Amino acid sequence: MRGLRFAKGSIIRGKWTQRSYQVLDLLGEGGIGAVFKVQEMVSKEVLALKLSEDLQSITKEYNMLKKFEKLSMVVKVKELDDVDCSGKQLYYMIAECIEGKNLDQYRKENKITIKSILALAMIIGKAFQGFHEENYVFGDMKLENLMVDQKNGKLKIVDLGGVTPVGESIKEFTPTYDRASWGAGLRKADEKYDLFSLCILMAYLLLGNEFPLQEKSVDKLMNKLRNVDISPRIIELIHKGIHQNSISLSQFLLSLENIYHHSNGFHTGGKSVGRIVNAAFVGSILFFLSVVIAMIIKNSAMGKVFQAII
Amino acid sequence: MEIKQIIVVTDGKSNIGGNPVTAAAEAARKGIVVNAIGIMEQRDEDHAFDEIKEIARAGRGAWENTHVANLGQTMHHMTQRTVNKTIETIVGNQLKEIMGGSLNDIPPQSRGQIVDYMERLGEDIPIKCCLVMDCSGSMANKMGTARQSIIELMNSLQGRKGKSQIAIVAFPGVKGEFYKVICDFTENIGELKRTVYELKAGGNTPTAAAINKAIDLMMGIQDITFEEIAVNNGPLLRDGMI
Repeated sequence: MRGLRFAKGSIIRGKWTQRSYQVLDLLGEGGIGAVFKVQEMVSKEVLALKLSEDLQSITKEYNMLKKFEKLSMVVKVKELDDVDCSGKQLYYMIAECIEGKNLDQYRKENKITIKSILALAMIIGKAFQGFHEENYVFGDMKLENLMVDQKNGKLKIVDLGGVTPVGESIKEFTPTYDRASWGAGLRKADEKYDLFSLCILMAYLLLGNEFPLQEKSVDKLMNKLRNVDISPRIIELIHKGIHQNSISLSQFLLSLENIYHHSNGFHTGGKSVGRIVNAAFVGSILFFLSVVIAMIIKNSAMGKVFQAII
Repeated sequence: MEIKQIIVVTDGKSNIGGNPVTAAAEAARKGIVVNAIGIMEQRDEDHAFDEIKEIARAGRGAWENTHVANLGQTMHHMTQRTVNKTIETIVGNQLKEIMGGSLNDIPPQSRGQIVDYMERLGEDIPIKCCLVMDCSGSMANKMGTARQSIIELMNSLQGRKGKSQIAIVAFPGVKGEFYKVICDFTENIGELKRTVYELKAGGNTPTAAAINKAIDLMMGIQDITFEEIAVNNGPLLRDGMI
């Protein structure tokens, strides 16, 4: 958000509630807003403040956060207010502050195992179902919208800007996860829209830094996945999910759970075992040779020269 | 009530066939919003830059310069912005009439219902969107992505509840023509997919002529050919007159 920044230490005073917040830190910036870590001046409570110049979009998001506050994964929102910023009216909402990293930052710093990826997909899928039961679609799912709450060991959804009633058009999206950008369907709110983004999110985590792809082609994405050492059952499931025509979200989640609980390995059976055996074999030969050479060096006249070098 | 929007997509300055800024101003007078997207790689093409800014200003729209890979997304956001601005104006006027104030004068907690109402209006309002597509020589290696972006925009608009139509005017046309109507207004994705392959790069940049044609399409003005004049008019002199 160009030029609409509050420096550390500045005070934001709500026009309607008259409550004041001191800015502690900038947590993130987006197209039409910024998120700050703030402290309420009286209670000293540390909270998150999302600032926007767009009345419509922040009011809509606040409504959605209120509507879905019963879902444990959704961040809790407290108030909505206006603030004057050198003559310009801005809008903000106050929500609980999640201490931790978003899943994209987390992914870059930590190795996420295949088992955890499946678990994450199951948790996110369950959350999607919570929205679908109320006849809404989540819409804008992406790694950056998921916070790993390290204090409480939970996953939290921090942005509901993309939540859309079923049957309406999706207005807020991220091309990487958006099926219309992949040429794989309409930008319209139905449960399959969320299923598609969930599959992309899984592919993203499985492929790691090979993602995002240069070109948004579903076939190329599937080919990349087939080159990774993962169980074909997972690949098959993602394939179905991405094509959206032969599977519902609940069937997808059931299969996912099935794979999660009933499979010993998540890798391509023999291939990985073979690799380990090969590596161990080559390693042992190298070790043997080095021992032999060391003995020769020690016992030979040349040894002294080599020892000096080593 | 419907939204009329022209999106000019260009990768350079117009060089033949009139002033595109005048054409954009003419569109604005007719209630058409003109947005302009530059897909210029070097930011040092100052004149081309100034031109798209001026087109957007005269056409009461927005402008942006972006990489061709983001063209689809940019067209979506611009259309969304046009819809939002239009609805804001309509509802803003209503609020002013009813309570003599604006949304800012209503407490935040009570704005929800009005915002919902605005969302629904935006979802239902019919949209006519004419893409005015630069197909000059320099576009050659961007054409494939541009075609895909048009289909993406259609997939986006067809997700709406309201009727959405897209037309495409390419410039320049063939055989020295300033423009070519690739596709008249349609809501049929299949038709659009078939026709976008007629977008081929080569030739000059007659932006103004193409915008003027877009205005005609939007207002339902047909090109009149000599044959049509002959068919539509009775004989000049009737037998009885002689």
